[in-house]
Amino acid sequence: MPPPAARIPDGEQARLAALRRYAILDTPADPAFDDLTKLAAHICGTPISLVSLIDADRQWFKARVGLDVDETPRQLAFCAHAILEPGEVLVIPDAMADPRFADNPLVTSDPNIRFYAGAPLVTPDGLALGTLCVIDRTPRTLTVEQLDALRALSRQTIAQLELRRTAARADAAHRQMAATCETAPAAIVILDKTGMVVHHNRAAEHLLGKPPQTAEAQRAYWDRFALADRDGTKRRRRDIAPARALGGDTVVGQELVVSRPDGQAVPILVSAAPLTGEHGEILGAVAAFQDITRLHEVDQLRSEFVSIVSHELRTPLTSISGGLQLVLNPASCLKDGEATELLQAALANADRLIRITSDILDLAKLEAKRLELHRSLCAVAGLVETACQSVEHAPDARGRIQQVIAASLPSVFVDGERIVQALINLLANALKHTAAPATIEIAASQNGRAVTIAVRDHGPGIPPDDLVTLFRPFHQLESARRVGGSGLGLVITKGIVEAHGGAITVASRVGAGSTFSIVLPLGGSQ
Amino acid sequence: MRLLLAEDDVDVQRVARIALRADFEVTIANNGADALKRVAATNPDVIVLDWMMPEMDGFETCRRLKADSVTRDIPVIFLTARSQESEINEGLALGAVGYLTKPFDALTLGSRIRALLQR
Repeated sequence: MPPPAARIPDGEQARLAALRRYAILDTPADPAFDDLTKLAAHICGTPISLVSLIDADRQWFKARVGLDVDETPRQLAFCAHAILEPGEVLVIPDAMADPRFADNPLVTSDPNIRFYAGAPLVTPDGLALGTLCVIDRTPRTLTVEQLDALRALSRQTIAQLELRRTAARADAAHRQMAATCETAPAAIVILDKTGMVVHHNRAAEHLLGKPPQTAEAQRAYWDRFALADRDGTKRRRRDIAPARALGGDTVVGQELVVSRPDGQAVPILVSAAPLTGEHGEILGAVAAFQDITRLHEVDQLRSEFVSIVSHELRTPLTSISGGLQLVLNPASCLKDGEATELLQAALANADRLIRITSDILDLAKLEAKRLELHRSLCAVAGLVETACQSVEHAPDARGRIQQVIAASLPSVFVDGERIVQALINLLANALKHTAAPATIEIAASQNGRAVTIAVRDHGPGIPPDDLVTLFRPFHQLESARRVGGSGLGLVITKGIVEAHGGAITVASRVGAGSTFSIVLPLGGSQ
Repeated sequence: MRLLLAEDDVDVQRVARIALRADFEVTIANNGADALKRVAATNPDVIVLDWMMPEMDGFETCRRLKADSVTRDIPVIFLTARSQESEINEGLALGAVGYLTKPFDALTLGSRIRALLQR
């Protein structure tokens, strides 16, 4: 008949889950635990001592003295009884005299247990995972001091388990951090307190090269930082972010220039912070470097754009305000006809300002992708005719337009006003760049699932180099200004066409003229 | 006093010519290259340069004037729409004695140029 098994303690699921969290079951022997059992056996004067962990259906020994098995069934385990009272040491002076154990095969046969004392291994949250126990083959007791020592050693056993778990957690966190660091786009280096690089990621190697191994190389490493701010201001070596971090400062977003291993100087944004120990002492520093070349380029483009827009707005304003001041001031001594000339110029420049501001607004909408299209089915011939009339009837019209519209063209599903605006831009450009009296052509035809509208002039043509930058804002500033454009017409035309899902192309030969073609898909219309 | 103005916008040319004729004998050049050509013939006491002009901009023109021993000592004043601080510093660094921005006050332009020349 099997011996009476210990009851299952309350909260058994939580207890087993805690046991799993320590990830200790079935791990190899560990001297730290072996020492604890040796000490327990020695202090208590017993031949056997165990660190026993109570699993669902077995007890497994993490460390053992005087016993050759790794585990026994839970049903037979003395320790399964001991964990029922986590606060107490279970002492069985004579197992033969105890009805719970008298029939236990571990008592009646090998290893012939007679005496047992087990101090529960209690986790910080109060769960008993098993015991540190001592066993003898003769009945006996423990002194108060021995009991006390057994309790102390059981606390040490749990402390060992906690330590292992903390170390495992730290290790996982470290690996996580290392993986994050490795894949971060910023160059990250970790320095010891002397400024030597103790860790760096791939981006750092790309930007700064291999970290220095000697003090000599270290100097060269830091010398690569040109120690100059973006505006060229020289900085002392001790003022750059990593050096300041080693002095205890946290520095965010310092701009410097660094020479990459390939010799190229790149602008970088540096942030650095000290790494401190438990008592606030500085152990080193971490520094992150970001290549901001692209940011600089964008910044420069924006600054150029501001300059050009400012120029485009201020030049007509100069004629308007200067002209009006001279006309209104009696001391100007204007000659015959000059007042009229100045007023006409002011008016023309006011018109120019209106065109430019409306172009700039269109451009802003296109760039923010906020151009609203009010689409409807439009006949291509109608769009072309409207655009031609607008250009031919303009006060400064200086040529004629030939229309070649293919028969039975399908209608297009577009914002008619915007497409007419695009066509007017192309037609006006063609006329402006052709010597008067100019004849230009506009042709519309169907190509598969698209309609192509091409505007052709016989002007001087565009050199190949200029074709590349033709659609950039203000690119044609100089020549466009001579002929009264804002320098934005082509950019806006392209934007309008692309907002419709279409495309614009240009073919040009110097001396023979240019053809601008817009292709509008028929997709949405049918 | 003779003043050579390099300015590509015809309307600004007209305003400047009328605004300055009480104080100066004004010659107009359509761009920087044109201004360099006219320096010898007009022997100006002051050269006023726009910045953004076709063919040769005002900065390049100023650089060339300052590099030539014959023209080096003729005072140069910029009269331009470019008014960012960095641009003004850049202009003055080229050796210009003054930097005026557009739009300018047509009624005081002449006296402002005179004041810059007296400094």
